[in-house]
Amino acid sequence: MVRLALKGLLARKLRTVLTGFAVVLGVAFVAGTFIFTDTIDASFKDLFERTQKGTDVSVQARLAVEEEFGAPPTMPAATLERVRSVPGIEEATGSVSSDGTLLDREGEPILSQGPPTIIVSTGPERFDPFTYTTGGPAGTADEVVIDKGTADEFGFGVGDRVTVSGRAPQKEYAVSGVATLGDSENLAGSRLVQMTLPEAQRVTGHDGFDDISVAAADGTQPDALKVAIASELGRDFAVRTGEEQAAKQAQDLSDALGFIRTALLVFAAVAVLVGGFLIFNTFSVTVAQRTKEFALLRTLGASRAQLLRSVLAETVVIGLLASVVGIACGLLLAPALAALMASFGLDLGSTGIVLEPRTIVAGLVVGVVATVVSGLVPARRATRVEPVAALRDSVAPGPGRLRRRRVVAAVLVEASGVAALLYGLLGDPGAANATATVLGAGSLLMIFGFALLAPTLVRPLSGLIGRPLARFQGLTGRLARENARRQPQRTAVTASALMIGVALVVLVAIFAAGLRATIDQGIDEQVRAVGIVTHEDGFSPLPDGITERIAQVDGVADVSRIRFETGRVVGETGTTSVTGVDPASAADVLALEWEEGSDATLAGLTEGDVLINPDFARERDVGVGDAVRFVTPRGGEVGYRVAGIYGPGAGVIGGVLVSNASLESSWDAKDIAFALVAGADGADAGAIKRAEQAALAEFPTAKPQTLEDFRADQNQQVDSLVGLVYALLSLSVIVALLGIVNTLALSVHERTRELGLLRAVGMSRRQVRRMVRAESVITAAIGALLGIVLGIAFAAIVSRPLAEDGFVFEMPVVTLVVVTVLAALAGVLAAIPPARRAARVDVLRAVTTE
Amino acid sequence: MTDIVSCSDLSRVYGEGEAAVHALRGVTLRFPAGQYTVIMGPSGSGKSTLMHLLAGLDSPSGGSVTVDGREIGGLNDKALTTLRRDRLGFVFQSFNLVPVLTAEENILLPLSLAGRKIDREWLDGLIDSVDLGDRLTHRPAELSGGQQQRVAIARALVHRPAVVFADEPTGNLDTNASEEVLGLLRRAVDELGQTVVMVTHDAQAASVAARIVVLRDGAVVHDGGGESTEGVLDLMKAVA
Repeated sequence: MVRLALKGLLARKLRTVLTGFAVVLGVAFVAGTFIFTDTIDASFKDLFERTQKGTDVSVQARLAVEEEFGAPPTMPAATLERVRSVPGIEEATGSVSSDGTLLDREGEPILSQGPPTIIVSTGPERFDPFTYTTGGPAGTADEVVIDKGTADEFGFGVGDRVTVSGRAPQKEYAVSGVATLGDSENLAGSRLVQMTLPEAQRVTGHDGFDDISVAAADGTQPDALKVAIASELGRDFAVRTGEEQAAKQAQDLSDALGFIRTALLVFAAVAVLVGGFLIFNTFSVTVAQRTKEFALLRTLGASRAQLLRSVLAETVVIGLLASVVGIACGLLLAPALAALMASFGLDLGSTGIVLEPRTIVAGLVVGVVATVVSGLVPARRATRVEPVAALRDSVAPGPGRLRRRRVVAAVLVEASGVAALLYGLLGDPGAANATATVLGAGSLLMIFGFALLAPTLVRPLSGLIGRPLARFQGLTGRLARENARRQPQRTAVTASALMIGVALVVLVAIFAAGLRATIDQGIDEQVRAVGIVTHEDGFSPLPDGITERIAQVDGVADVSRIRFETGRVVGETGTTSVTGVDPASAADVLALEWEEGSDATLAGLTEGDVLINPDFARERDVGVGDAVRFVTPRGGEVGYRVAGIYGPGAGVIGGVLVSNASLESSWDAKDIAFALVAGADGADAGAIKRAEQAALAEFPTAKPQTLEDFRADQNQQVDSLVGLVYALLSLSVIVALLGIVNTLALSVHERTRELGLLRAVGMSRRQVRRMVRAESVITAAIGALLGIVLGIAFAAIVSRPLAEDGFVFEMPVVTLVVVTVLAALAGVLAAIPPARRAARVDVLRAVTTE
Repeated sequence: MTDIVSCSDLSRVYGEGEAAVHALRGVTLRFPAGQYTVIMGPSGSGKSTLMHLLAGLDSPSGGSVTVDGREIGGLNDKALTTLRRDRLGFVFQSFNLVPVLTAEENILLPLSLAGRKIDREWLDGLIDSVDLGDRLTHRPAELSGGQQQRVAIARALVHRPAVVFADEPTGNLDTNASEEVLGLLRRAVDELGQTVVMVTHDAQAASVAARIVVLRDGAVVHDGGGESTEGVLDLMKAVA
């Protein structure tokens, strides 16, 4: 029976290929994702090991509160002496590192949305990870070394002058050397600037050491040394061996990347799901067409089980072949994914290609399972063929019957999907993984519910869409409409494949619209400022001295600084964001709604006061006058008294407000996130911005903006992200369109005789093509309509919990219309090959009876 | 009488060289208007091939075909299709109807394709004569074999073509239905002045015709007037 299966597949090569193609794309996406992220992981791991060169033990300060991308605080300089006092040490050195900004030859800051530029300090040669391709390490406070990648890209060489800015105002240096990290031209995308230690400390504002590297004396084991140093320094320090430190850094980055990997895998899963619909459809049709063949086999004595195994064997073979091809394509897709990410600003840089066994296994499993599962129902249908069907005249498959049971089942599935989604969003299933599983299951159930319901909807929907077509095109339109209704099951499954892609596009579109509206509303309602000053890259802290400069600019009435810190409420496990404001000027730039308190409360905020929003108050059951205690990243504890409760919108600031003075004294906060500028009465926002730009000429990394600029900026970031998501969804949509081509081609093949008859009676080739095209458009339009409804349903459900946080739900009607039109156009495109085939039907062969 | 359809030295060869099959060898025939002609012959005689060529469904290897005054050899697909739509009617042995359309819509097919208006009176009369009044809204799957063929005949006549070509129209029917169908075709000739060319191997079907042409091995071996059923059988025996 397996041999029979194989022969069957060979005989229908084209069909096999089309079926397999869907799986290939899905598996390629999965494999490509794994290859992409594995490659990055490997290159990071290699690089971090390199940076720990010569280091047997590594010392850093311990972060009491774990923060995403948080760097440990700087250790006091005396720590180095304490370390050196431990016996068994051959050499110990301290270093600093922090974010900074390089300027190119035109004086423009070199920015990226991904890896930062890192300023590092020099050290003894045994700890120096750099390989100097030209020149040598920085020797004086006026020298720097630049990574080769940056040097090549921006045309810097030894002896050139380059400007660097960090916390301190920008300064010009001479390039003393160009370096690589082994084979790598930079730190996996991060640019590197090396300075002498005192200069690095000045520029970064780190008064002490961020890292202490220790080389053990001969005969001392790194582990033993680690224990000795740890006991000397105490609990406030994290002491690890060099290997452990490199592994931890690689792991931290890998965890951060994990989010990207998961996101990409979700898109891959969507592609596989859509592919599954395609396979189900194709197998259904081919099984139906091979009724006579199966009947013959049954007549000859094949059992039901043998028939089932034969069809399933076909699915396994297709799945295997497609998976292998898919994995190979994944090797091609991985660099494409990297390029896509880079074009949207996430330049993660990588070298080589890493193909882990896990990737191959995952690809094979996904491909085979998807194919077999999708082919299971059609395979079972093949076994239900009665032997006597071999003797009857071969008839095209009869019209599908719609059972009422199916409608009931569909509604049940849909309802359970909605329930699961709501539970996952509003209830509390537990850990992130559990929540994700519940959400994923809920989404799948909703999709399947719609897909089950779809055949019932084909009649009315094709009637609705077909009416203008019939009026417009006359007979061909009418025939197209009827043909779409002929096999509602088949039309529905094909349309459902497109529905999934469209639903996700609509979901993203609605979300983006809502996000933009929420941002706009947040800015409009919460911010009174005339302008805002941030770092050029949007998240680094402002350089020192900026706020004083701005305060002197014409038209500026006040400058209000905003700080962000992450702390933990005492007794809780999760972290809380804390925002610091300048009470004297905050009321001039922020327009808060008050539940309890007023702008006066804000203006009168003392170091011991905290303002909270209603969510915070409700969750911890605190009100005005109650005490709240926080653990700071340094490990200290600070207590506050609730002085007021302000309105719910999160907007530009968070849910907890304290004074900057408190953050500076108790939290050791050094960074100013951004500054809000209050204008004098009647001052022109644009004029103020220009004046600020002039005043900040020495700080090229500072970016003054009017509120309008800021709004446009934020909206544009949303657009960027949306563009990336659309790009990733496009693969699924392409698979769905291939599904339409496939189904249509099969349907045309089935109707050969009918087409021959029509041509004999006088239907022209153009009319035939129009008919097939109309059928394709109807199918695509059904898919689009279902997708829009499903997408809106998704968006409505998912935005429920967000609504409480101030999320604005907005329906982008224009986008929806565009989506429908595009779907119709896609239908036209998809119809081109089958329409041509249909028009070329050999009339004679078609009408000749045997 | 004018010739509605004629062919001159018509031949059709399939394949090449030694494997070549000569389905038709230089056939010359003329079909005057208003005549009921039957083309007969044993299997492989070329009768179906002849009809396909006459109807413009196939291109000859040699010779020419003239339909309604026009030589169809040089016509492109578009022109041929239009010719079939406007000037020819077809009834096949089976699978005559479009499954998704009702009987009435099937009947109107040639007119709908051409975008022409129906003459309601003419249509009603036609439907009456094929006796389908109560089955108009039904789809082919809901009609018996005989009813389906009657619908096909009505369709073949609705646009008042120059010629109706029928290819074994009674092949799948029982005796009663066969008689009905043949009767209809006969009446189309007698009452409507229609020209009918029918291919069949059924002696009884052949007996309704006014002219019988017999082919054997791609050539005409007999071209004479109508015969009774027994006469037809004798003819076939003589030719075999």
